[in-house]
Formats: sequence, structure tokens, C-alpha cells
Amino acid sequence: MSGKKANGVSMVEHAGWRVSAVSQAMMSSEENDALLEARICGDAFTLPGVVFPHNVLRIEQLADPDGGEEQGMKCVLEFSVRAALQGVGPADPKLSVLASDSWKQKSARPDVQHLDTTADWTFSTNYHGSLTGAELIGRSAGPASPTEDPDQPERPRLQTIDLERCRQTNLPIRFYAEVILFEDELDDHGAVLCSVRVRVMDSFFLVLFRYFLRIDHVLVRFRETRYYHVFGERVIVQENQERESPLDALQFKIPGNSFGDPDRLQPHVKLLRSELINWKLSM
Amino acid sequence: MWVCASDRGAMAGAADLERWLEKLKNCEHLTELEVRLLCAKAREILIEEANVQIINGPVTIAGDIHGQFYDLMELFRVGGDVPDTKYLFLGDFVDRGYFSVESFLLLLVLKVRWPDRVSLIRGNHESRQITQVYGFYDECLRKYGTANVWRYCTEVFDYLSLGALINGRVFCLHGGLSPSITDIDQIRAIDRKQEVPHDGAMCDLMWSDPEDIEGWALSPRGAGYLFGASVVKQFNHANQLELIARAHQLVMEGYKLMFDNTVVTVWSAPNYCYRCGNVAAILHLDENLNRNFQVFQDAPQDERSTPSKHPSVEYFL
Repeated sequence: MSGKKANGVSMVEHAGWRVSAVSQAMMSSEENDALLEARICGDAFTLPGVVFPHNVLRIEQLADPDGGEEQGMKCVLEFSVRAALQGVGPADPKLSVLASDSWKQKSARPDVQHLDTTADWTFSTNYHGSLTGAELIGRSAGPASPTEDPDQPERPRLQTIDLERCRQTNLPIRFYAEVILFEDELDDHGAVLCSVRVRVMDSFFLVLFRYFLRIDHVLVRFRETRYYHVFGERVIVQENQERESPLDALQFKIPGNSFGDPDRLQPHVKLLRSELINWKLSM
Repeated sequence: MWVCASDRGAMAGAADLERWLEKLKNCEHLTELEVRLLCAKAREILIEEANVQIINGPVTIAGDIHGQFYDLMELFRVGGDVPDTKYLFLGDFVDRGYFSVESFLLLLVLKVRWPDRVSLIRGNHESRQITQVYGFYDECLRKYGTANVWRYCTEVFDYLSLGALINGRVFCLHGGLSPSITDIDQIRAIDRKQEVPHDGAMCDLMWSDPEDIEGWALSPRGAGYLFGASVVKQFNHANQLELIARAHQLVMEGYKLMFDNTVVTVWSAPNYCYRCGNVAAILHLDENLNRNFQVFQDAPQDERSTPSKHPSVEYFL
């Protein structure tokens, strides 16, 4: 029942599922060059400063030994670095570090070029994880959080994440892992952290995939995807949320220095979009 | 000048230095008063140093430390103790790691005790603004209850030099070159005793990065310069240099040579932030500037070196 860990790999099997997490060293210079060569981030000329190329979180259904030949397709939910980097979109031209205004004037020298790249230097990814072996049964989008308003009439039949249950810290955690996919320090102008966490409880699992961006004195951004599954049920709930706030507006609301701690920052950041998705398992 | 009696009684003497050194080698705190005396003494020494220090080989060059105290002790095990080994540290002593206070003060005691055997140059983290965001300020508050120690240290930061020249052939700095500097003499003319400016030559020396581009470019983030091989070739030719040694960027292998071995990045914080899994390196140059990279791993992690995470982390929502 307890997780095994060797060579940065930890694993558990519980209630017909196997959860495995690989956390190894950051990429070598050679791996960095190979990923750039493969244009994994479009025409970006640098990757995030710290990429963990071998890190992966994989959650998969186990075949039922008594299920016979006629079992459906097994469900696999995976979070990989490559897919997360491939999900990085084009740059938002409005976004730059605080010092950029004065720099735009000062660097207007004939000998300084502006690089021709559309790549997003914040590495904001649209990735939500790679889910296979499950069938889409419903999707609803709205500005408000569906988990906060489960009784909204326009999405009556969708299952939501049971937050009450998730909040019960007296329930034992059977397995926990955090896998960092990539990080960047924005040359000391902020922070980027893309990671995925999982906890396996007796009766359910919860996954949080999070892209976090802080540009000092400018902005905070969260792109989060949660997956929630109650063991024995046929549904996986997925919830996508995007949050963003100007950073200096938050400074007054937050005690002490929480700016390095995404968990403490997140509740104060404005929810822009959320989407609820239900998937049906075939076995 | 009237001097308070308790201050006069506590002037930093040789015995004090030995005692502080012993304390810091064990990662123990100095008192606030001791920090004040040490920083005052350090300023007296640093103020006499040129913006570009002249160093003769053999010397060992170290890159970013970032408060990883136990890894700094590992560095001394690999590179040898002061004063047997002469060291040049390229800045970024503080922030991100758990022991910025102890790491910086240890280097400072060594500097004061053996000024000719230790050279410290300023990194972009040796700044009031940056340390308030990236950990050093909070660490001082946590360990001392007030910001005084942070203030004493940041006053020392303003006196750290900007670069070093080894045997006239190897130019060392924290970040990189600046488009406003074509001659090392221009660096000598900077008034360095101030907070790191947001732009200009002094800022560039601590912030810029070499990159595989042609000439100079503005970073896509909107601030900071990138420089290519042609820039280095020109600068090295004009200043009769064979190598530019800098730090500032994490390298998995601990060091990275670029542009036909004319630029080297040295990174001395192994397993950076206690999770990156990288090795660290120091660069030993002998009296003839022959290069020898010494690669090392992080110190064994025990309870002292990494405070445990709060259990609520596991009950994320």
C-alpha cells in the first residue's frame, strides 16, 4: 500500500489504479540543445532555465484480473514535460518585465537588435494533461467556478469535484507525489513553475496540474487543471481554471512574503475562466 | 569623535575574527553587534579595492553560491581551505538557499582575515531590491527579528567590486559584457558605491548573458542584454584577453564553455535550490592560466540542510 521509491521513482497501486511519479535531475546542456533543435517551444531560442526531461506523472487503470477478455480500454492520465512545453502558445506582446519601459528607450541603439521571435518567454502552457481511454460525456464553461456553484441550472448533470471531501485533512493520504516539469527564474524578474501533484486517498484521487507565473511588480497567473475520481465510479471529473491579477494590487492583501508560495497566493488571484468536463471510463 | 564605550570594547580584532570564523564554519549565527562590526571592518577593506581587481594566478574561481552553506563547505573541501587556496567569488552569495546569512558572513570573515587570498565581486543578487524578493531579507528577519543584519550586509554590497583581471588575460565578472563598455578602463571609471542601477554599464555587468546570436540583442523579456560570439571576440581582442569567466546562469554540468572557449560560465551551487540535481564546479587557473575544472556534488542532505515542508502541502486542493 505504501509508495515505493527508488531512483526518483515512486509508485503505488490502489483500488484498481497504478500511480507512478518520476522525479529526476534537470536536463543536461546536450538535452537542452536537442529539445531546442526539435523546436519543442516553436521558435524560442531558449527553453525554461530548468527543465526536468525525464519527469513524468502517470495514473493508469489496472486490468481487472477477473474481468475476462471483454474489458474496455484502460484509462491513462499522463503529464509529461514534452507535452507541457509543446502547449506553450505565442507570446503576449503586452507582457514584459517591469524595467522594460526604460529599457526600450535606453536600448534603442543601432548596435542592439530586437530578436525576431514569437515564442512566449513566460512559457505559459495551455496543456491540461494527456488523457486517453475515457469518453467525453459533458463540458460546461463559465466565468464562475463550477465547484463553488454546483447547482447552476445550465450544467445540472455534470459531476463536480467534491471539495468538502477533499478538504478533510483527517483522512489519511495513501500516496502523495509532486513532480516538477519545468521552472524558470525569468532572469530574476519573477518565477515560472510548472508542476503536477497527486494524492491518493482511500476512496478517491485528486490531481493538480499547475502552471504558475509571477512577473515581479507586474502580474501573477495561474493555469490549473484538476482531475478528481472516486474509486469504483465510472466518471473522471476535470476542472480547468485560469487566474490572473496585477501583482502590486495583491501586495496589500497578502500577509508577509507569500510571493514565492503559489499555494498562499492562489486564493487571492482573480478567477478569469473555468471549465468543467466529465469523462466516462470504459472499464 | 565620541565613541560609545561598548563599541570601543568590541572593535574587531584578530581574536574576534578567529572566534567568528569558528562559529560560522559551524553554521552558527553571529550576534547582531558582531555582524555590525564585521561589516564595518569589511567596508574599510573593500573601499580601498578597485572596481576591477588585479589578481595573479594561481587562483580558484567560484560562481553562484545562493545561500547553500553546506555546499559552500563542500566547495572548500574540494578546492582547499583559505588561505592555502586563493579564491575569487563571482557574486550571488545570497538568496534562494536557506543559509544566505551564514554563507555571506563566512565569506566576509575570510575576506577580512585574509584580504589578499579572497576576492569577492558583486552579483545581481547583492542588491536591496532583489534580496527583498528572493529570500535574504526574509531570512534576516526570521533569524534576527529585525532587518538590521540585512541592512549591514546590503551596505557591504555597495562596496563589492565589479570585476577582476587575472594575469591581465582572464577577465572575470558576474553576468557579462555591456554595449557601453568596450575597454576595461571604462569599468574602472564607474562610481560603484551605490545600489545596483536598473540599467547602464554597472547593471549590464551583473545581468547580461552570452547567447548564440549575432552581436547584441535585447532580451525578449524586455530588459537585459544578450551578447554573441562576435562581441566577445572584439572585446577580448581590444583588451588582450584570452577568456571571460562569468557565473549567473545555472549549468547542469557545473560549467559551460562557449564561443570557441573564450567564455566560460562557472556555477558553484550543486543541486540548486535543493532539487535541480545539477553538479557544481570551480575553475582553478594555475600561474600560467592553465584551466582545471573541479566538479563537485551537493553535501549530503540532512535535517539541518533542508527544513521539512509543511504537511498541509500534501492536502492541496
